[in-house]
This record gives sequence, C-alpha cells and structure tokens, in this order.
Amino acid sequence: MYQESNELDMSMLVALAAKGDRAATDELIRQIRPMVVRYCRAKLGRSGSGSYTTAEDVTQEVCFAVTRALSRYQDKGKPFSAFVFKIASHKLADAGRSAARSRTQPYEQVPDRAASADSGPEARVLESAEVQRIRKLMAALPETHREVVVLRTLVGLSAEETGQALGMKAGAVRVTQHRAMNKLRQLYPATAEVTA
Amino acid sequence: MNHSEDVGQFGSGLPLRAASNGGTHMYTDTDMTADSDSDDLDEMAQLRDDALINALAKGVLPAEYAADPLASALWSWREDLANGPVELNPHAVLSSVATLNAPLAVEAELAKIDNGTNHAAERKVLASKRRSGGLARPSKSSSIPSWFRLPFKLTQLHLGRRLVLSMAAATLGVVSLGSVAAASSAQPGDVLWPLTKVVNAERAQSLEAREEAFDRLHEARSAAKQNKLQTARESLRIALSDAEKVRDKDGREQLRQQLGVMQAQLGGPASQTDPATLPTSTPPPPAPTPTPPPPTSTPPPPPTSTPPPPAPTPTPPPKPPPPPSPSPSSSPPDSSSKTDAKSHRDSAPPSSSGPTEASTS
Repeated sequence: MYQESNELDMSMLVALAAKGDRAATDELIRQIRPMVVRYCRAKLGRSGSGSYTTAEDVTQEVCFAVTRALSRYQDKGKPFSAFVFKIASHKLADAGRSAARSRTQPYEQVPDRAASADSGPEARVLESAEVQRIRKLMAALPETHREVVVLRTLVGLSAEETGQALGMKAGAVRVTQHRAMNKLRQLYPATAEVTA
Repeated sequence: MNHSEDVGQFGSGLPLRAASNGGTHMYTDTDMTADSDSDDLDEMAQLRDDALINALAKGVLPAEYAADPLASALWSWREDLANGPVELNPHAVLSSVATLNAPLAVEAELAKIDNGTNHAAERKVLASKRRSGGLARPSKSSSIPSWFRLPFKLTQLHLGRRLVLSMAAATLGVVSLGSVAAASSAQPGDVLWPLTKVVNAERAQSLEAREEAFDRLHEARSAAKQNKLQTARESLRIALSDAEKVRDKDGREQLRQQLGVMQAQLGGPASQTDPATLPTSTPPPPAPTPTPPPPTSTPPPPPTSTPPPPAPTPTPPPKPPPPPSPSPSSSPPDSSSKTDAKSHRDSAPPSSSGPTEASTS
C-alpha cells in the first residue's frame, strides 16, 4: 500500500532533514502537512467564523515544532508519523487550553457572508449537518477509539503507524477500529435519543 | 427545538435504508456493548472494517458502502477536512428518495436567488440530497451557525466545468502568445506574416521594403546582363528608394552596399555606350567643346580661308568646317558668306553627315 512506500521515502527524508538538509526538511513538511491539517481540523473543527483558521494555525505550529524537533528525533524503529502526531496532540492540547480561556463568540456576524458564498445555504446546511452528526457521534466514543478512527480514517495512517503513535499493537488498532465502527453504527439510528 | 426534530426525522428514515442494503454484515453485532467477545472474534467483520477504513483514508467511498450512513459520513468528514468544502456523496444522491416537498419549494427559490450560477442539475442533486438527509429546515438557513460557512465549495460538476474552462483558457493563451511570439520573427511569405503586419507594422514595412529592394536589384542585374541599361537603371532607382524604408537593424547598410556596387557597374559603361543616355548625362561635355570653337574659330576661317581653298581642296577642307556646323552654329557663317559659299553648300551636305561621324568616333 502506498502508505508503506511513503513511509520508506519519509524515513530517508527524515534522516537527511535531521542532518540539516534544507530541501529534505521542506519536502518532509510538505508530505506530512496534509495529514497534520486533517488531524487538527478533525480535532478542532471549524472556528467561530466557519473556517478552519484555528486548525490552520495549530497545523502551522505543529509543522514548526516538528522542524525544530528534527534534530532530537532518532530513528528507534518508531515511524516518524508517530513522532509527528505526538507533537501534534501536545499542540492541540495547548490550543484547547487557550481556546477555553477565549471568550470570543463571533457567531453573529456570519450568516450574511455565508449567504454570498459559492453555493447556496441549502448545500452548506446539508453537508455540514452530516459532518456535524458524525462529530457528535464521535464524541460519544471512548478516547482511544476516537483517536484510532481519526488517525486511521481521517489522517490516513496505517494500523502500524497508528499503533506506534498511540502505544498499541497494530492488531489492537484493528480490533479497536472495528469496535469503534460498530459502536458508531449502533449510535446512528439512536442519534435522536442521544441528542434529545 | 428544530435541531432535535431534524435528527429524529433522520433517525426514523434511516433503518429502512440500512436494512435494505448490506444489512447482512454491517449490523452483525446488534448488541449495544461493543466490547463483547463475539465482536472481537469476528475476524471477517474486522477485515471488512479495516478495508473500508483503508479506502476511506484514501478518500474513496466504496460503492458497496454507498448506503451505509456511517461510511458516507466519515467520507464526507474526511473530504471536509481535506478540502474545507465538502463534495456531495455521489452514492447517497443516487439512492435518495424524495419524501419532503413543502419546505423544498422555498429552499429551491432561495438557492436560485443565492446562486444564479448554479446549474439546474446541481440544484436537483442538492434537493434530493436534502430530502434523503432531511436534517435542515428552511428556517434554519437564516440562523446558520458559523461552521456552516464553506468558502469555496465546488461540486464535482462545477469542478469539471471549471477545469475544462481553465484548460481551454490556458491553451488559448499559450497559442495566442506563441503565435504572437512566432509572428514577431516571421518573414514575408510566412504563414504568420499577416499577423506580423498587425502586431509589428514597423518591422513588417521595413522587411517588405528590403524584399522589394532586393527584387529590384535582381531585376536590375538581369536587365544589365541583357544590356537593357535603361530598365536596369530604373530598377536600381526604385531599389534605392526602397532601401531608405529599411530599418538599420534589418540590414540597410548591407543593402545599400550591394546597390552601390550595382550602381557603380551601371554608371560606368552606360555613360559611354548607351546612345539614349547621351542627351541626359553626356551632352554637356561634347557640346561645350564643339560649340565654343565654331563661334570663335569657324567664323573667322570662313571669311578668310574659304576663298582661297575652295577649288584646290574640295574634300579635305570640309572636315574642319563641318564640326562647327551643327544646325545652330552653321547659320552665322552661312549668312556672313552667302555669296561665295555656293561651292561650300555642295560640300555642306556631305559635311552634315560628317559631324555625326565625328561625334560618334
């Protein structure tokens, strides 16, 4: 699968980047950035203005932190992605703390601008509703299950990489993801009761 | 509240679909406790979920999961995370059934107003999606929470159209830029020469003048070879005037040099050999020399010398007097010695042919 071959290239890049190769560092960040973006977006959701600005900011911080931490990274058989997502989860925790202190509620300004966006409000409502629903269901999962689903499905890590990032075995990741999926399926018809 | 009501609607509509499609494996574990042993041991189900997750991780929604709300929701979520905007779930749209109608009319109108550029097909897709998902009420759209804003949503239809349009525009741009660039280096007679005339008129004029000048030069050369010096000179004259219209950088100096050589070749022999050119260029030299002598040298001789040599030298004397007797200069001597010039008159006719011989020799 492409994830493995990707990881192979990535380990070479990491080795070069750790020695201070500028181009390798750039390429490495370019490769991990989309995954970090999805991870941060999945965890943070949309910010008050309806865009992913907070998630983008955190992504930026994560990439920056990864670049700085490269020299500290030593290949001990752990995939680099595990290293990246450990950093990312720390950064997200920081962002969560600062967001908890923030009192901004910019909701009210939005609808006018939203109405002039590319597609009609109907489409936005529908699509976001679907995403919002799955988010809500995910919140009902245990922490580990949620993390596995996010890393596997949304970020696109392999079972092995996810296991390394979360300190589990790959087999355990597969079992956990199956349980999480089953749980989500059960929750689906029952959403009404859950939210009501 | 609106929201819980919507969710309820969704919840009630869903089991029907789930049961009709793929109910066989997707709901094997109906037990609410997901940690049961039977769940862990069902390796087939585990493998299926693993395959589904692997597909979703790549942004693919397998067709067999089209009706699985969880799979499609995860897929939508991933798309949303990857692109910001969400694309419609194609499978869900296809399998959707219209159930709600009343609120739709209002919303369709809203969508029309909001989105003049949207295509009817797209609206239809949205509408059917709306019916199948059935979460939103029209009244909700006025109080859309912030996270509904999707700044650059593109449906697949839109994306394809934009792609085609932008590619067409790019191609057009490249072609037109390329042809302008090519036209700037086109030569007369090239396919793009007419374009050059428009794009760079100055250059076109200069190059055409140069071509014209060279053509004339060739004409002049071939005419000179056939000894048609008059036409050769005329061609050369046109060539010279054309050369003035050639710009410096298009080789005016070189052209002038060639024309100069030709001019020198034509100018030299022409003045001596071509009789037709005599009236224009050569008359001055011969005319001054013969005419001044007649007034000075011939008038004196006739009165003095004509009486003595008339009889003894009828043939030799004609030579000296004839030269002075071109038509204008011959009258004064005639008038001065009318009486005794009778004999000279006889010799004059032969002498009149004499001067032509003298001038030609």
